[in-house]
Amino acid sequence: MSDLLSLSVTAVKRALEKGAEEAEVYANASQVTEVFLQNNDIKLGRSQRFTQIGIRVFSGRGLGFGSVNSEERSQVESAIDAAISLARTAPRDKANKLPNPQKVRSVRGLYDKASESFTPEQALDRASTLLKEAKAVDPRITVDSGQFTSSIGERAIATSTGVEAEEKASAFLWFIMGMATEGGEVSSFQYEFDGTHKVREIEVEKTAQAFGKKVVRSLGAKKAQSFKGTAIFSPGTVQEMLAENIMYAVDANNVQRELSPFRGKKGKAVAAKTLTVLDDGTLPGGLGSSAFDREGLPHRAFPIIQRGVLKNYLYNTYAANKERRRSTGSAVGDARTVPSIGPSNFIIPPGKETLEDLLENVKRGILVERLSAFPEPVSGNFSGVVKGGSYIENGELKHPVKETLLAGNMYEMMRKVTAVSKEQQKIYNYYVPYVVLEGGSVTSG
Amino acid sequence: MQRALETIDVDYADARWQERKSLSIRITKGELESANFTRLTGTGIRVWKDGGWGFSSTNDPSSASLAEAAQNALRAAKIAALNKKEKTKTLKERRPAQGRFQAIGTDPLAKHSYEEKMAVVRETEAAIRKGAKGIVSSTAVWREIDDHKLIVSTDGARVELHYCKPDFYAVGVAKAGGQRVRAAEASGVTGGWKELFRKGSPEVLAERAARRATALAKAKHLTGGRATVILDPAVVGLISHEAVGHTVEADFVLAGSILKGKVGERVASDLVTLVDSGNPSEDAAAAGTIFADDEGTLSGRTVLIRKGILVGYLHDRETAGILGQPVTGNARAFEHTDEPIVRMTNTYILPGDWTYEEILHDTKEGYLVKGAGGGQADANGEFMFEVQEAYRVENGELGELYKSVTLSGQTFDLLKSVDAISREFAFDLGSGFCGKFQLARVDGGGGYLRCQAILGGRQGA
Repeated sequence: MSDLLSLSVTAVKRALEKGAEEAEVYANASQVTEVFLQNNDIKLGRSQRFTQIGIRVFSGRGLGFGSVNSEERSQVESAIDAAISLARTAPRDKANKLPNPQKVRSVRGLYDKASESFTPEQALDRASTLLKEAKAVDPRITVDSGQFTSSIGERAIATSTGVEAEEKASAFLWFIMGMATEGGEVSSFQYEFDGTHKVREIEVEKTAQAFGKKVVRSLGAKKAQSFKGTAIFSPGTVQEMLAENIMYAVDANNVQRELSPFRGKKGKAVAAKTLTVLDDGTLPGGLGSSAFDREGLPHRAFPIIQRGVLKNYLYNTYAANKERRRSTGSAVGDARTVPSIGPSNFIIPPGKETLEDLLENVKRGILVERLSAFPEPVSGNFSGVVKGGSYIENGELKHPVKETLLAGNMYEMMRKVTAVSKEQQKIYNYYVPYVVLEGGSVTSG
Repeated sequence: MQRALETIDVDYADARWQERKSLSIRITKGELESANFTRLTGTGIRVWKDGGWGFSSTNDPSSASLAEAAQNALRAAKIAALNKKEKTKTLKERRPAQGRFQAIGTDPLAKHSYEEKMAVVRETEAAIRKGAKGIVSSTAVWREIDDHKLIVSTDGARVELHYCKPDFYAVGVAKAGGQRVRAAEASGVTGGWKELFRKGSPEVLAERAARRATALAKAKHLTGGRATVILDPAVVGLISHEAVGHTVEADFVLAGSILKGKVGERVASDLVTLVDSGNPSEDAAAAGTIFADDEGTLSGRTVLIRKGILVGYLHDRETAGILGQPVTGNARAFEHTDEPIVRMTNTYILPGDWTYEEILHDTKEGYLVKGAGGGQADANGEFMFEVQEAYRVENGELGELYKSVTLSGQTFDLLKSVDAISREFAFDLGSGFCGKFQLARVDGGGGYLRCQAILGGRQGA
């Protein structure tokens, strides 16, 4: 048993001794090294260790939560006291009950022993390479900001219902953001990011090149025409728009509160047959993978939408208790907050046709690299400015666009997905392809 | 802390001990969603060496641990310096802050029990539900952050800060014709109980949220276009912060913001003087009040636009050195694990000499927009924000209410078109956070201001 887990087990006992009826202790500790980029240069190096202990208690079926950034006994005691005091003032809620333990299986590919000898100098080298390679794509590129992060962390959970679990993971994450300038023209902002658990899979060069190409492509933008037609969402747009709407609609809390348009739609079609969405927290090496969720329950692989049909909502224990069913292992959050609901790895399986094939079939449309929009997930309505997109006519990318708005309803457009691409991109824990949607309207300012 | 800084060979360093106690209570439709108490304690150390910057932190107050954090920060700075092309050559001299500053209000929140705060949230949430017919959902939120900091630096800063920044929300959702409309009443300040509820008691906020949600549910959508628009202090604050403020943060200026190299040029009408102050004489309870920043510079009042002319930017010691301008005390860090970066505090347009009534009566045709919503401003000065309410103005009288209205345009075109600003002044952007790599509590405001802008309706929202 690690120190973190034994601390958690001890803290659960203390909470019960102090009068909590149920208690959960979630703890994490990590060593993090970061190198920041700003304005085409190295900005700052940062190296620190984080610890966080979060204690959730129920008293009289009321909820209380306390959290501290220290393993020190007196600090942990103060968090327990705060949690219990809060719980005693809280309204009674029958759904406040911790889950019973389930068998947890470890997931492969989350910890790389080589990460132990990964030095801050190597982190600097990776950050510098990210910057240099991006600039090398084209002299017109300006890197506004970027970051390379390496971390080794462990987490543990113990509860009064007998849940005990722990896990170690290494992670390397990086991102780059910027624009291109030519004469007086400044392109729209673009960004690119990636990550991995393994030292040998750190490929900042690939990210730098993808970013550089994307930025340069957005130069020379012209206004598009106004029309109603095809929109091809880039993987980044799929993540920010389509995936976010789907996640909101399948969150059991939103379903129960009558905020989700997917309420009452389980087993029914909510999207076109071309669209399948999976949640798989057991994917080896996945950035959203881990053996157990924020409540210590095992992660699973299950369909959310299968060939357009809604298969599952996502539950944590609180939402599941309200319907007297079991959690889907979808509790998410850190040691500073009570568990909420979210995906582990959100996956849209790739299609058979390449992006090039998909473009060929478009008579009139727009390729959306990024959409600067207000998503409104209750209704699905959105209206946003296309950033770094291109106008498509008769199967050809004609020119990048500016001052061009795309508006529509995400839930209606989901029903009009005509294809997904063979290319699939990993955006942290989202594994998503290009998606072709109909029903949006393009307005050019 | 001071000793830890003395153990390392640096060109400059600062250290910040911070204890943060925060509480958040949130109830939606009678269900308690969170009742969280968090305490974070530790020391962040920042080092400048050989032109590079390094940062580290520790949660352990022992001198051994502080010395280790100082070493880690020094190592990080040396590593960063290795590949840095433009080494930071100089930090701008400043008068380091010394002294103690406190703003916990006349009725400090620490004197109020959990029971009392929980009761306020429960009662407010219930009051919204019962406040008007047609309310389908309601949320009430209590949030407080109590920060205690000690800041020292190798050039002599020694400052102790203690302030409390609570915010409170009453949110009602109403439904009409299958559409949901949300209305939020929010308050966010630096201070205690009295400051937090100075705009209205919890009951009053609940009633306003409920009434407004039901009124908006019945309101029509607007057919958009360019129009004469009167902005309320919240919207003036939103524009001052989001659309102007970010473009004068010196780190963004160096990266190529639209106002780079424009000092001395006209960017607004004569009536507009826009300032940022971490210790505003107008109202010390504004949510962005800090007294001194996190590298130990006293907050003053930085004039950014004077009578329409751009006169300066917001700086930390590094950017002030690069651009050869005075240090403005805008280096802020959120938690002890964050390094200071250039941020705003309270950003606002100074009041004018009209009254609100005079502006209204003088407006033949136009709109009055109220309440800040979501939105964004781009690097090129274009912005689009949602406002909570828009009223038609005809012959100096308020008319019909519209919902889901957006305000957009080019920031500096809008500011150049300003032809009236009221004497009535308020900060009204104090709830929530501004995000820029880290979070920060900020505020914004001004008088009622009349200008030309584009109003848009939102498709079916």
